[in-house]
Amino acid sequence: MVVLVASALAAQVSIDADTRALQAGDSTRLRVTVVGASPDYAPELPDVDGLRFTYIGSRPTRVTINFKTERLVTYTWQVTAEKPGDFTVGPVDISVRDQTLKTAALTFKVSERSDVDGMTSELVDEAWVGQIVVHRVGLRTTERLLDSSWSLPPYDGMLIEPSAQARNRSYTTVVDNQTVEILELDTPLRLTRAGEMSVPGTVLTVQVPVASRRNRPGFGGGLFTEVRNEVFSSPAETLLVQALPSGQEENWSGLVGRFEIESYLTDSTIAAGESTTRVVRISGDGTLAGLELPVDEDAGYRAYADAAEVETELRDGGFWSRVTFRQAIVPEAEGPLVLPELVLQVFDPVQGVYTALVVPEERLEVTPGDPSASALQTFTEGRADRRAEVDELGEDILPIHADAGGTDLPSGWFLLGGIPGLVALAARLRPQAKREDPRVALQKRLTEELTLAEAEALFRELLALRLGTPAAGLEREHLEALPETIRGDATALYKDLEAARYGGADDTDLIARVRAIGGALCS
Amino acid sequence: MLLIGLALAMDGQTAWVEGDPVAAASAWADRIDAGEIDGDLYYNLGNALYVQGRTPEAMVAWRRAQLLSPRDGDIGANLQHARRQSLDRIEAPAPSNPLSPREMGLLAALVFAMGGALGFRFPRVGVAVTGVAAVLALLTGLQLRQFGQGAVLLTSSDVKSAGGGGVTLFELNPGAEVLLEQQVGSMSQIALPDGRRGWLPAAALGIVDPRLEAPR
Repeated sequence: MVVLVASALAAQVSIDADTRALQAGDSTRLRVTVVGASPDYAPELPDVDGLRFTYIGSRPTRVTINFKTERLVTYTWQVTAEKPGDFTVGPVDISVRDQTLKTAALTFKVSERSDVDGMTSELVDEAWVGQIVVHRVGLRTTERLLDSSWSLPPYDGMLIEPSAQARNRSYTTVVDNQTVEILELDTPLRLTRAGEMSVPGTVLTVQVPVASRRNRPGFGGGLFTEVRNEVFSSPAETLLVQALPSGQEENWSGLVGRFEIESYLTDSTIAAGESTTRVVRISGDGTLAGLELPVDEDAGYRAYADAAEVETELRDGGFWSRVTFRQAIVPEAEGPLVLPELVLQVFDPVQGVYTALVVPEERLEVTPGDPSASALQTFTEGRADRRAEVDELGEDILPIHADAGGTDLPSGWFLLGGIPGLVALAARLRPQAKREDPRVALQKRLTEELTLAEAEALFRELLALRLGTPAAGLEREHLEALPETIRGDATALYKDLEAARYGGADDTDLIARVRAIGGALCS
Repeated sequence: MLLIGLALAMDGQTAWVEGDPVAAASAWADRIDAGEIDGDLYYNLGNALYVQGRTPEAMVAWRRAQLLSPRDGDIGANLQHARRQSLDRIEAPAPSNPLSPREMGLLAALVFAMGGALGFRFPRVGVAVTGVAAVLALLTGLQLRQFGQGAVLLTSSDVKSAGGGGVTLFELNPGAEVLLEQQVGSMSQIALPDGRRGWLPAAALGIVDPRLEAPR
């Protein structure tokens, strides 16, 4: 249980204890924590008749809150309950930089001392239909407990309250210098039927380490601890549930419990067309889930309600709940507007009578508004995000394109971009094509002035080209493949050139014959 | 010319902003018919026709715009909006090419130039790249040939088994998108994506070819 109190110094102080329900002779720890400041000295606890405080020490640490590192100092005391009763500690004064911060007060409930070992059960003896009661069962033992599991009994004539969760606690206390382990389970129950109800015992299964050599410290006990299961059952309880008396009125809310109500408007003066938020909070020890506020018709305004926000908590063995309603109030006319009194009839189980929760009428001043004011309103309070989702009211085509124009068709001018490259390609390919036609080159050489050796070489190249044979490997027999029209002349010329090369033969007309037959070979 | 175009653009846009979609449509259609075959102009024209309640004509304009600017999401969104209002549940044709004809042409020209430049140093590579450019140019030509293959029904029409009469095979409503197979005289043969074919009056169709006269 932690209660934080903000100060003007932006420091926070809190007070908490391991448990606030003690038996006489029990000890527990109490802590005072200061966040965001360094106290000038350790705080002193006020003397409380019935409690004994023993200062243990302080521990400074650093914590990161909202990405900001803060200094945190915790002062710890051992609190020992000396006698039964309710005892309040604090508020505790803490001096920080010549200013005094105060914690909240903390109340310990000390009961009569019972047996140290064994199961306990607490439940009220009488209650009313619709009331929330808390069934507390617990185990106190001096043995070391390793694991535990609870089995709830069937609750006849009552429901486990769905808006709150059962609270399972485990802590230690010191009794007569002996450490006592305490397990507690608080179960909130909504009474649904009148009559005498019996609540069977709640079963608790715990694991207890076995005293053995293996479990001794230093023998790797953590991993291989031998355990035994022990089963406990809490004492059975009986409960007398009374039906609600007659006297329910038209504004009966269905609430059973002791409640408080508060209400306020976020703005008491608004412009016409705007809205203000009416916040109504009800808190108490009964369930508030499912409660709806009455709606006034024709009250001069329209009300739009957000979903109610319900909080529940199990506190010190009791049930606590709070519901917050937020209504957007939109006046229908300018001028003063009176929100009528709100009255809810509830049943007080302590007094056993019906009472009324009353919100007095509230006044709202509506000034002339701006007709062009935004229609975006929200139902939340001041600091909350007031923006609302933009509703999609319709669907239409998308807007026009402002930069329309030109043409998106391909143009023949694009081809101009390729012309320079094409010209370059053609220029590159053309000489290559010329080199690849040797007949033209050989024919051209026939017209040039030649020596006999050049004429013979030219003749062999022409023959080789015509016959498809390499000039170097050309033999006289290859000439048989020539067309008949030139075969004879070519063979005779081949023979005469050979004879001239090796001496003795007449070479006077050989060059002229090479020109003549070469021309025929090229054609 | 540019100044005249800008003036006309302002005319269409000004008329649109001043709430005169008829004048805006006329101005944009004039620009298209003057040779500005532009996707944005067709898109704007479609918007102006749509707000006049002439949804089929608007669809023709948007379909033409989509051929010219296939990656423009606004066009697809408006077409989708209009298709939801049509009566015939016909599978809508998807844009076939993510590149517009202009982009294809530019790409072909660029590759063509690259082929020439490479050919000067590497003749074989140059020839290959030039071949790719030729293929791109061919694809551009094919893309342009496909322009006239889509059509949107402008009026309700019975689709007959033969051009000169025959049996009514099915009926199509304004906004139905069909494939135009051939046009003979005053009749057109159309096909649906499910394979059904038939003939209807050519005047009932708005042809999805941006080079034709703009719908007004």
